[in-house]
Amino acid sequence: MAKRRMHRGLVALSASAVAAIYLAGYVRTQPADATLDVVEPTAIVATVRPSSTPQPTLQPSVGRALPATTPVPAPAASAATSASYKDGTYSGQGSSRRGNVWVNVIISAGNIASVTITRSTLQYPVRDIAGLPSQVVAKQSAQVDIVSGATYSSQAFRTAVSQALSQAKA
Amino acid sequence: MAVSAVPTRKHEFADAAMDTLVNITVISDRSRADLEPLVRRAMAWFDTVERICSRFDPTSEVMQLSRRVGKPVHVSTLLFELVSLALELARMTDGAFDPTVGAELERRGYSTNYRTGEDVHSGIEPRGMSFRDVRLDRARRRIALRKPLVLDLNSIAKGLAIDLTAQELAELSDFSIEAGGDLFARGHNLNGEPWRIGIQHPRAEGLLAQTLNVIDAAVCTSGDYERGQHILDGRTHDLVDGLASVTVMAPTALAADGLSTAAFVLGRERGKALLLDQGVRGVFVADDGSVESV
Repeated sequence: MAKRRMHRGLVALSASAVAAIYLAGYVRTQPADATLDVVEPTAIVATVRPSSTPQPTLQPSVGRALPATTPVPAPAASAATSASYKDGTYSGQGSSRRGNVWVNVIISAGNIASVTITRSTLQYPVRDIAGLPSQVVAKQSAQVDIVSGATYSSQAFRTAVSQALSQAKA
Repeated sequence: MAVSAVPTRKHEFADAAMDTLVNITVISDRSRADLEPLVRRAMAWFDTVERICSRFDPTSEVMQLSRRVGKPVHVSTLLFELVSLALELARMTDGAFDPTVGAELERRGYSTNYRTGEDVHSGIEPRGMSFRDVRLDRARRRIALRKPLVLDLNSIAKGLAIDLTAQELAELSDFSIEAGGDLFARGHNLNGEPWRIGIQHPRAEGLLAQTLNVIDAAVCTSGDYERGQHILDGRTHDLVDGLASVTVMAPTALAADGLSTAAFVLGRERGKALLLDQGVRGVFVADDGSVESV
């Protein structure tokens, strides 16, 4: 057979792979080689874990009893919707393991008119992020359902802005 | 409050798995109690994927495989398909993405089992291996390693787990699954609109680099060392720099996860070409914080 690269896109390949694995089901998905010394669950539903690892429990809701090492997603759900704020200028401060950041938030006609970083000791200098606060204004306190990102996150900026906004709400 | 025939309730479920937090949001008129067994069954896929693919568990199937050199080993469908996809991605990128960097990651200290705190080392020297040393026999579902090596599937396993979880939830029309910043969203949000997905700006706390409207698609982000990730260039075994993060939106989380990692390694220009070639959308954030979409 000619050595020809099958140029199927990764999207199609991934969909086939997911379908194959799902259809194979939990049982046939278990390691197949009997000589491999892998824990073999006997139940159909593969909630059985090696005894050395604790079975995590399903928690009733997000934002409660999070493991300490787990990053917390952006608080999209808790962010105020278009709740109007009191006009004025407010400041806030946030800290993270990368440093601290101080911001000024100006509220005009009930909306965030501007966010300015007034001081920062974050590892990334202010000049690198100075162009970005306008995006906070555009999204009006993060009206998103979910945030994608390699989360590890110090939350200094978020904390600073929300601290400022909490005064604007008062 | 509820309008008939319009599901208006939002149910949130969370669980810790694969070194991260898994959040599932279901928009449905069904009760939480009614949904819970289904969601629990769906989330169990994360445990299944982790048990088979974890580099941090010496008893995982993939770590068992690393010690079986030269002889074809019959493996599970899950491991076979995931390795097969990883190798395809390696071929597409001429080895920039290479799943055989596991031993090098161990050498660099990325070897701690997050559940037990134990260091897991295969004892395999991280030299002279590449994805070409992994041979697949699809008809017999066998994998043969030509050299001792450790497969690192962590960069795509989470995507796979998200997709399998989504399959399990197929009877639901509106839901999202998010795990450590990677996600899949089906249908619409509570307001009946497309899911609004923010892309965390990797260089500014709490800011979004961009927002996406998503219906029936996955969004996955790969980031740099500063973001707590450690992605190696398979050709040099060096940590990758130049980009802060790459986000990919694709029909499956497996593809989005794999392509975001591969594009991250390839860098801005070649990474963009890869995403265009694969017909997916992406957002690149450079080391200096600048944002570019493709």
